[in-house]
Amino acid sequence: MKGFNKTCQGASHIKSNKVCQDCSFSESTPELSIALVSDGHGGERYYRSHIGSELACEVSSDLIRIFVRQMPSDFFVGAPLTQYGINGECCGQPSKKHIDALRQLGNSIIAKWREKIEAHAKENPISAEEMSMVPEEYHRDLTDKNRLAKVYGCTLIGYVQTPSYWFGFQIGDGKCFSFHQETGPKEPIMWDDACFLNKTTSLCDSYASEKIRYSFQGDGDFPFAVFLGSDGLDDSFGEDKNLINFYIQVLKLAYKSDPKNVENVLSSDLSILSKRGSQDDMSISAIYDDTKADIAIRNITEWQLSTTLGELNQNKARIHKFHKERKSLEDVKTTNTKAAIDYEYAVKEMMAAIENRKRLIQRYNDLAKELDENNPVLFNDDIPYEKVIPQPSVTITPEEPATEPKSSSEKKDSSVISQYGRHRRPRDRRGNKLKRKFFKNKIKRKNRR
Amino acid sequence: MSLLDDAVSVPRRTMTLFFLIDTSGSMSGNKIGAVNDAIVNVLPMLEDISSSNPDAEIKVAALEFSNGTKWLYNEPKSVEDFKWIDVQAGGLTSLGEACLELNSKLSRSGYMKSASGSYAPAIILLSDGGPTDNFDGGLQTIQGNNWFKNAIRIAIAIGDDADLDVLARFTGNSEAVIKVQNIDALKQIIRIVAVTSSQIGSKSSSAGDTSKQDQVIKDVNQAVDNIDGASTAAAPDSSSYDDWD
Repeated sequence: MKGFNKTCQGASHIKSNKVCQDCSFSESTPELSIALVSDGHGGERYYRSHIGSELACEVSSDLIRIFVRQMPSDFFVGAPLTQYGINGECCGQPSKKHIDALRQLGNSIIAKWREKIEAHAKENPISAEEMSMVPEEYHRDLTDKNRLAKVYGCTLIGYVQTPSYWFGFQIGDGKCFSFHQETGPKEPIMWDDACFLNKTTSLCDSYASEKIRYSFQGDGDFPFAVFLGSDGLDDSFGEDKNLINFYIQVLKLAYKSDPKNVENVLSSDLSILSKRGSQDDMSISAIYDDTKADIAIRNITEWQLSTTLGELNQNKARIHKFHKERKSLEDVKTTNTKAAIDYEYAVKEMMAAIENRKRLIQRYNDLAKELDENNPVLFNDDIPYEKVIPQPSVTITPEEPATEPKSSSEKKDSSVISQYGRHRRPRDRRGNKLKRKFFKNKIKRKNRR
Repeated sequence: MSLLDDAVSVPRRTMTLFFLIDTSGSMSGNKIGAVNDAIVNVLPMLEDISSSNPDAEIKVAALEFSNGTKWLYNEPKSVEDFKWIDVQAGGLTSLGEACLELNSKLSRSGYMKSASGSYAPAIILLSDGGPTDNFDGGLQTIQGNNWFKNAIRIAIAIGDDADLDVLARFTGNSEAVIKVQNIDALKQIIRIVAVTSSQIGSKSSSAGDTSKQDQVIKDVNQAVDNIDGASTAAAPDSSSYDDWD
C-alpha cells in the first residue's frame, strides 16, 4: 500500500489573509495504512480552527496506531461491510462487539482532542491580534470551558486499513470514496443529513461522540484505493461523479508515477481548483494498493466509459425532449407570446445539449482508446442532426405569384423546414395578404362596373 | 500534465430565486399589475448581480397559485435568459397546494442540483389574502424539506386582508413578513427583497455566521423604514392606508 496527502490554502483565504484551516495526513506501512482529513470551521468564532484540525489529525493518528496494535489482528475478520450512521442507523450486519470497539476509539479521539485544545488554550491566551480580528462576544470563549471547543471547531474523516480489515469514521462534511473492482466507486461511510450546504456536525459539538459515523469490513474485500477530501473539493465539483472523475485522474497519475510526484502536482493544481471553484481550503488524503496498477487502471477507465455512456443517453433524451417541444410549438409560436418564448428556450437548450454531446463523444472516444489503443470501439452517434437542428430558410422562388422582393433577413424568417426532413411549403403571409387584397379589389371593381 | 486537463470544468454554484405569486381574484387590477411591472423591472438588476458574481449563477423560477398552481416555465432559467410573462388574477388562494408543489421541486429530482453545487434558494412569497385550502398540511410537508429549512424566506403581505400569521408561519419569522399598503410601496419592496435576497443568497458563508435569512431580514427592514406604506409585520400596527387605485 502507498499513500499521499496534500492540503492547500483556499483562494478566498489568501485574499482575506486568513490561515489555511484544513489539515491532512497519510501514512502507509505493510501493517497499517491511515488517511485523515480535518477541516477547521471558517466562521468568526472558530478563530483557532486551524489548530483544532491539526490536533485532530495528530491525536487520531496516535490513537489509531494504539488501537490497531492492541486489537487482535483477527478482531474484524469475517465481518461483512457494515455501516453505522447517527441515531443507531445500521446498514449491513449489526455487530455490537465491533461497533463498541470503534465507538471507544471515537470517544478517546474526542477526549484527547479536548484535552489538547484545553492545554493549548491555557498556554496561549487570546492574543492582541486575535482580539482585533474576532468580535468581542467571543473574546472570553477561551477561558470558558463550555465554549472553548468552538474556538477550535473542525470536522474529521478517517480511513484505516490493515492486512485483515479496514474501518472508516467521519464527523461532519467532506467526502470519502472507495474504489472497488466489482462495484466501482462508492461512499463507504454513511452520510449524515445534518451536514447540508454550509452546516456541518463537528468535533466541537456537545455530544460529538454520538455524531460520528463508522463503517468496517473484515471479510477480505478491500478497495484498491480510498480518497478522503474536505468540502472545499466537493463544492468545487458540484456533483459526485465530477469529483470521482478528478480522483480517478489523481489515481491514474499515482499509478503511473509515485506519491511524491502526485503531491507535487496536487500542490499546484489544488490552488488552481480553489480559484476556479469553491475558493475554500482543500485537502486530499489517499491510500492505494500499488500492486494492482494494471487492473485498477482498467477498472476505473471502464467505469468512466460506462458513466460517460450513461451521460450520453441522458443527453440524447434531453435533445429529444427539446426537439419535440420545439416541434409542438412551431405552429403556435407566431400567435402566442408564451409559445414563442418557450420555442426560443427549447431551441437554446437543445443546441446547448448538442454542444455538450460533442464533448461527451470526444471523451468517450478518448477513454475507448485508453482501454484499447489498437482497436478502440468508438461511439456511434445515431442522432439525425440534419433533422433535429433548425435548418436555415429555403429561398423563395422568384416565380412565386404576387410576392414582392424581400430582404435576405425577411426570407430567412418567412420560411421553415420542418423536423425529420419533411419540407413544408413556405408560408408567405404578405404574399397571401396581397393576393387577398388583389382579389377583393378585383371583385369591387367588377361590382362597380 | 495537469490533473485538471481532463476534469469536468468546475461549475459556478447555483442560487435559485423562487417567486410564489398569489394570483387569486382579489389580486386583480392594480395589485397584479404592480407585481408584473416590478418583476420585469427587477430582472435586469438580478442579471447584473449574477453576471458580476464569479462564484454563483442566479436562476429564477416562478409559481403562481389561485385555484391550482402553475409554474411559469418547467425549469428554472438563468436570470439572463428569464423572460417574464404577465400573470393574470382570478380564482381562490391555494397556498397549501403551492407549498406541496414547491416541495416537489426543492429536491434533486426537481429543480435543485446536489447540495455541493448549490447555495440555499431564496423564496419570495407575495399574497393579499388567506389560504382557501389545506395550508397546514402543505406547510407541514414543506417544513420537512432540507432546502426549504435552509432557504431565505421572505413574504410580502399586500394590503390589510393578507393573513400575516400564515405568512409568518411560512417564513418562520414575523420579521420576514413585509406589509405594503400601496402600489408604489409594493413595487419598491419587490425590488428590494429580490435584490437583497439574491445578493446575500449567492455569497459564500461560513459555519457559524449569521444566517442568510437573518442578514436579508436586517437589510430589508432597514430599507422598509424609509418607504412610505411599508412596514414589517413584527412592528406595532401603525395607522395604515390602503391605496390601490
